[in-house]
Amino acid sequence: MTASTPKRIDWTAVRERMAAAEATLRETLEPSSQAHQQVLQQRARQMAQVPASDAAGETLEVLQFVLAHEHYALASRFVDEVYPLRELTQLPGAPRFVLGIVNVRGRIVSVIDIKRFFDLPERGVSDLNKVIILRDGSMEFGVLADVIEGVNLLRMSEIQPPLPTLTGIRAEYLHGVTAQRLIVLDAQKLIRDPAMVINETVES
Amino acid sequence: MVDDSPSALELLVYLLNGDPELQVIGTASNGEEAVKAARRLKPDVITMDIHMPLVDGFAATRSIMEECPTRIVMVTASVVPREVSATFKALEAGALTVIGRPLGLGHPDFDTSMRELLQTIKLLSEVSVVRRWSHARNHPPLESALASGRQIRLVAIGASTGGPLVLRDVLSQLPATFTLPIVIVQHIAAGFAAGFAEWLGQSSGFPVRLAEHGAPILGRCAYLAPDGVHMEVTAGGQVRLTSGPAEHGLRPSVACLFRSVAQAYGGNAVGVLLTGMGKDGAQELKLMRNAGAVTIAQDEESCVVFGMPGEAVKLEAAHFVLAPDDIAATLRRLGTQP
Amino acid sequence: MTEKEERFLQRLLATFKVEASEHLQSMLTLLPELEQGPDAAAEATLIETLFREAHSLKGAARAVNQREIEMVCHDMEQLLSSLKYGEITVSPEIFETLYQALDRLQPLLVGTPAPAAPTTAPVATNPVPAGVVAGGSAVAAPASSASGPVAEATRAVPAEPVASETVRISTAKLTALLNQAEELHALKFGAAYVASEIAELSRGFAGWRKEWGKAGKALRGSRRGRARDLAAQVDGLLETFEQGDARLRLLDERLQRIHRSAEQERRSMAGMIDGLLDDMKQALMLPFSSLLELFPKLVRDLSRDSGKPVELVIDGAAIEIDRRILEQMKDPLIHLLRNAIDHGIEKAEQRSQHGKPAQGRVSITILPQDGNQIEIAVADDGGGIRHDRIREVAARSGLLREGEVSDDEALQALVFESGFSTSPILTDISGRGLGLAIVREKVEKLGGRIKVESQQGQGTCFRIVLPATLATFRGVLVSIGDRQFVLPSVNVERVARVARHTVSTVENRDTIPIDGQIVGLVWLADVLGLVRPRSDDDAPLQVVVLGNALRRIAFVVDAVLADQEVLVKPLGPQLQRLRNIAAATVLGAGKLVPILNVPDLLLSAIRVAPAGGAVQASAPEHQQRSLLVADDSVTSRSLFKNILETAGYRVTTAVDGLDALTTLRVGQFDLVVSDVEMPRMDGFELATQIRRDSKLKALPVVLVTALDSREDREHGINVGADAYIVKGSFDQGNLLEVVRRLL
Repeated sequence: MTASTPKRIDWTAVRERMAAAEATLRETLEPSSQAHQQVLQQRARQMAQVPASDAAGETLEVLQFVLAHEHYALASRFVDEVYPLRELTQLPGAPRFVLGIVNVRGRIVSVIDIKRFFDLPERGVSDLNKVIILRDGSMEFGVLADVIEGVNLLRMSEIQPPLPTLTGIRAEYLHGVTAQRLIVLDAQKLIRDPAMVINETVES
Repeated sequence: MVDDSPSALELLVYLLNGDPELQVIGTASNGEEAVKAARRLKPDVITMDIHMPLVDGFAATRSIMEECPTRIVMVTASVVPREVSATFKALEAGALTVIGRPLGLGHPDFDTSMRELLQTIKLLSEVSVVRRWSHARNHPPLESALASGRQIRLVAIGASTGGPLVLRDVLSQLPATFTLPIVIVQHIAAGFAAGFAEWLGQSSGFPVRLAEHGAPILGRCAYLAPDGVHMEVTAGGQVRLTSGPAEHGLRPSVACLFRSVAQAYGGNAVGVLLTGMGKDGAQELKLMRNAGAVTIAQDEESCVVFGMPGEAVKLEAAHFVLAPDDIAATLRRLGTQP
Repeated sequence: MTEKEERFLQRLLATFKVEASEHLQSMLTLLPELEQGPDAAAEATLIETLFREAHSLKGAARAVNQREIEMVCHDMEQLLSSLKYGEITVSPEIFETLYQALDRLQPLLVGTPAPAAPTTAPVATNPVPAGVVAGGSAVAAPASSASGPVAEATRAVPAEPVASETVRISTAKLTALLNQAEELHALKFGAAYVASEIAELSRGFAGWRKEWGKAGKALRGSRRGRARDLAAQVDGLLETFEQGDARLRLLDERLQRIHRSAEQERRSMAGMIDGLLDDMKQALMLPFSSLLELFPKLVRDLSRDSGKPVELVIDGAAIEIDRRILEQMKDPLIHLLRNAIDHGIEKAEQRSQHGKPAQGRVSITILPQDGNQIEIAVADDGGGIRHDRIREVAARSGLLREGEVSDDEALQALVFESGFSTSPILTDISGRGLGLAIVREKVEKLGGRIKVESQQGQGTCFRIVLPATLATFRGVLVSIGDRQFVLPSVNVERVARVARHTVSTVENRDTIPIDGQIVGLVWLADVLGLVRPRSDDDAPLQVVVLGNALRRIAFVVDAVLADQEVLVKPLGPQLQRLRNIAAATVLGAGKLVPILNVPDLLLSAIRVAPAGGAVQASAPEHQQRSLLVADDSVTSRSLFKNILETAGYRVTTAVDGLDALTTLRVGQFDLVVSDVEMPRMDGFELATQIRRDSKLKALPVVLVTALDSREDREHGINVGADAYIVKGSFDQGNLLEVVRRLL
């Protein structure tokens, strides 16, 4: 048997006939079918209004935040929630960039300082009040931020490759930088980075 | 939507709910739940797998068609002929048609597969549930049609949506003394032809074979076009399978068959165009009529979709417009040696 | 694929994994049953069910575009369909093909590439149905190609079937739990009542304080008045006093009432929660069969690989045990089975020589024991553990001294010592380093014990006794400064207060006598890398003696607060393993407290440099100074605190201006470091209030703020701040310098 192709039926023709039948019906029947049609059309219009994610090039929905006077963004797909930081329990002996753990409705989430993770120079001290909880599959942790700016839809075309010296963060962790100096971090890379996972032992 | 595999069900629900004109109002994972849900929710269309625990698809279809009939579409992934045959049995219980499972997310042809599924379901939802076979009432005056003394040597039948059951009905009414060969093009989902042939043969009691290229066309046998190729007949009485381009997106196409019959058999044939969506074969039925063949279109009342035969009627391609029983009666008279 | 589709696909894949593993498990259970050769009716049902499983799995695989899985299922489906319609009958070759197909499915499901399956494998599955369908006679050819891949050298242990993240639970158990949860509802009202009573009480106090304040004012005013009004004033004062007394009594009664209510609530809550927890544990009990259903296949594979015919007998699989324990026992049991077949059971010829049946027998027997315990016995009728070899290896690795004679039982216990896990006597699953020592560790960690019985020439039996449910975790809550930690009670040998003079130095390490023994002494703060909090030089030391099988050490803490049940919570997926910290727990009011890892602590303690112990190193002179840090940001607060404490100051914290003011008034402080932007009372206002307060007006105030404008700086100076540090250019040394200068 030769390879089979999916069956092609002349749907256009069928639709024409059905549309004709519909028109006839509409003339003779009550508004019920009309209203029905209108509802369908309205629904179709509503559906059409949802911004198509592949209109012209791709877009990326991000959560924007401020950390030590710099503006950063993370793909919202990996953001589980934003939690106001109230009590932070420190873990003595943990790596410097691990600030401690918080209790999120009974679940323990570890919290890190991005600046320390990337070894950025620490200029001054800032009120890190919000925890952005990132999650990808089974990996989860929180990233501290000063201020959450909100959710934004970036066009991929806006994101330029970063100049190496501009942000101090290694290029592999960045999607890039926008013209407004928004540093778009690669959340997935961050979450899946083996360096993020702490696995230490005490040598005997 | 009825399926005992949660993953397959989830995909189907996702696909159908993604279309603004469709709404999934209930799911079930076995035949028993399906019947209860159908009773309670009264859906427009039910999709069902045939292999399910507790009560299988066949029994469930039967129960539903008895208590709260609606449009039932069998969905299956099996292409093992035996299993396909079993799925077609559901048509006997009242299911509308059998379609293959859509491809999964990530498959390159996913979009096409999805669109087809949605279109099929939408169009099937317009089909009237209650179809009455009208019983034999008018005996067409065949004498006039046979007046020119031609001798019928072949029956060619084309069908699409709703065809299987009509074919079964017609074939089952042809007696052992029926001597003509029958060539059939039935539009069917890829991979199902073999199983369909098996079922058709078993359920009608008439010998049905999947056509093979070059095989002689023998009497009292029905040759079914395999999927993916065009079937034609030669003047020498042989089957020709070609992989020419699809006509109107169809391969096998009724048009191709009828055209070759008109050319090879001229007026010594009967052309029958049964229920189905679209126009496939309507023009060519007219060709056959012009060549002198006896042409029949299935009547609107008994059609699941009056597409192809309707077009034929519009083109005045058919001598007679008949119900399935009458079609069978006509064929009997034309093809039985006393 | 759009993002929406991606997300859906992820969700769908999750559903698929669960569904697929169920289908696979089902097939793995049904195939052996079919092999047993049941009667015709049972056989037909089994085949039908197997077919349906393969068919459903195929449909599911198609939905998630897992083509390889779909194809394997397709082959199985065809074969099973033929069986169903009686076109072929069951035979060993058919089973072989089906098992192979299942083998191929397992790694596909886990997502790893299939194990070194030779390219003949797919051929083996396809031609067999064709050849078999053709009449079932031509079995010679398919058989050879089917056994081909099997003869391949290393056949890995079947890859772990996808761990299901869902469980099946009987509706009865679930309903019982739901009922209990609903009853907990009532506790809400009790707690609400107590809370409202306390609020009422608080209001009462507020009212009283107001009047008290008024009376105080009047009194002060009257001090300046004339003597003639003295009697009247004393009367007025007396009245106020008596009113106050009456009020006190009322409030006291109220408090008593609330106390009783709260006590009652606490008791009911404890009862309900304990009951619910018990039932939850019951719900999490699974029958052993859910673990054991893997084993028949495993034994088949092992048996074939080793060329020894072995049958597996399982008894008592219906007995239930805590799911968590069951999960932990999988690897140990697999290891014991391997051990039994690889080393226990002898080759067929050997067995016949000894008058044993050619087929070896391995059994797993599960029996309930007294005291909510369960015994698992893994036995084989092989050659037993050879004592002479044990002696050999033991002598070589120093576990047994030369010529030392041990009885059989002691010898057999030796096999659990690490040192044996690498010996050729016993199996080591290469790459995992799993030996009997680890089996024992796992068993003991779950609160159980293991021993072995063996008879030369007759066989070996490993007996594992486990608790049926995991015991709750008990911990000792200790504090170092204002930090708290939990030490697992199971490792706490002793808690004691020792006088400082009993600390002596042995080989440059601190020691103290405990129960007549000399025990090493360290400061827990030192081990954890924290600053040792201030304490009086001659106050007794609070120590907690921690130990495990190897060593014991006394750790100095500030205080032992409680010994209680704690709920152990893991630290989250990012912190896979931290030094010294095992997990965390939630105490009242949601406060998180780390649970320390005792074995780590004991090792860390040895590495801590001897600090010269009881005598503090001479501290900088400003060690006596007390500082207050006020900031509403938890991170800034702890940052400043750390900096200042490390520098030797004693630091208290406040969360806003009002809190700071109150604390300053009540305590004794030498300097305030305060943020400016704070709720309730900001830093400027705080400074103003401090300057106005007669007690506090000379207190040095350092403002640390994000505000950097000239106006703000001037404002700071106007309200009387002594220093103004901007957070943006904050520097640790700068702060310390400023503080030092001001003190």
